[in-house]
Amino acid sequence: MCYDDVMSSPVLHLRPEERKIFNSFTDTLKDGWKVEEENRTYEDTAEHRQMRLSLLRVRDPKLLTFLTEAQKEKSPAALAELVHATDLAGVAESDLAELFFALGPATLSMIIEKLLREAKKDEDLADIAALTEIRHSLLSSMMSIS
Amino acid sequence: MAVVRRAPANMPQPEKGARGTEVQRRFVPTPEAISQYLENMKAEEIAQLLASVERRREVYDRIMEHEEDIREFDPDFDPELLREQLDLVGETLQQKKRFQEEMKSPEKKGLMRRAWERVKGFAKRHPIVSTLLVLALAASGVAVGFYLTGNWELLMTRVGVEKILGGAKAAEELIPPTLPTPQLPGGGVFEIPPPTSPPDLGTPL
Repeated sequence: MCYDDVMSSPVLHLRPEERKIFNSFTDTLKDGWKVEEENRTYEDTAEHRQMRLSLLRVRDPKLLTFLTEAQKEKSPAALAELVHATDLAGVAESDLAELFFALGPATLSMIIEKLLREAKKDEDLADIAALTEIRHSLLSSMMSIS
Repeated sequence: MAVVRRAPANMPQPEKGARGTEVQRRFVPTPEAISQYLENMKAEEIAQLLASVERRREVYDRIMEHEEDIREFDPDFDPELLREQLDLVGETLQQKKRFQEEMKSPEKKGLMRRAWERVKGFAKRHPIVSTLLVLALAASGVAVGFYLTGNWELLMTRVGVEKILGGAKAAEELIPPTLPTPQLPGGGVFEIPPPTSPPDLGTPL
């Protein structure tokens, strides 16, 4: 298992239903991965989602250019093309954090489940581990607010 | 007390969407929107005030001094709703701050840095994830025009995220378009840079 070569985070934080998917993997794929249950939850609401998006702020020139260009687009096809053409390579971590915070843990869980269902190699699990780490931090920051 | 110029009569008017409903411009009390009414207060100062329940009341009182101006922009402006919204803004800002602090903590810093490095490569390995993140950005800044014309759902389908999110309608609920912060014409205290992605809101990560 080459987990440490791929990413030195030792843990996949998985919810029970995600763990079931992980458990269905071959022993070879599961080998070396430590799984911890993600037992943090957050009751998201439409108001919270809307507010997180309202408070989304980015600074990266690439993302600011996207916003400027997107405002000019009038058709879904043109905007879809612009969305697809905008990648996140080189974008600052602070802006990535802003985007994930805006998206929220529920949407992130949907992504994690999809990637788990498609996972075939350690590299895929390393990507999922990154997302579960981000979700873990998101849930931690959201649930601790009374 | 600060003298604030009233918004002129040619304020932006409500727009009609293809959905047949009139979508009214709303005053959403983000720090930038509030700073347009409170002279000499920067958005980041307001964000700090909103983090405290007591100081939030102070912000509420100061906003209400400009109720008439806000009503010109948002005829449905509701003072009671404003209290709830300020709580929501304050709560959300606190959540974001905790997220930022957690990522910078000595225990998490290394882990998160490696996580972000992997995310940066998602455009090739998992383009759908990059697409969702960019869509969130679009929802925050440009989506309202598409929503008004009924095209936001269509966009969700077009970029292929509706399958992950359980259909176009569910996708629209998970990544809802947000109404723009009021841009008040007239110069003076209203003549400020656009609120989209200001350079220094909050603490950099």
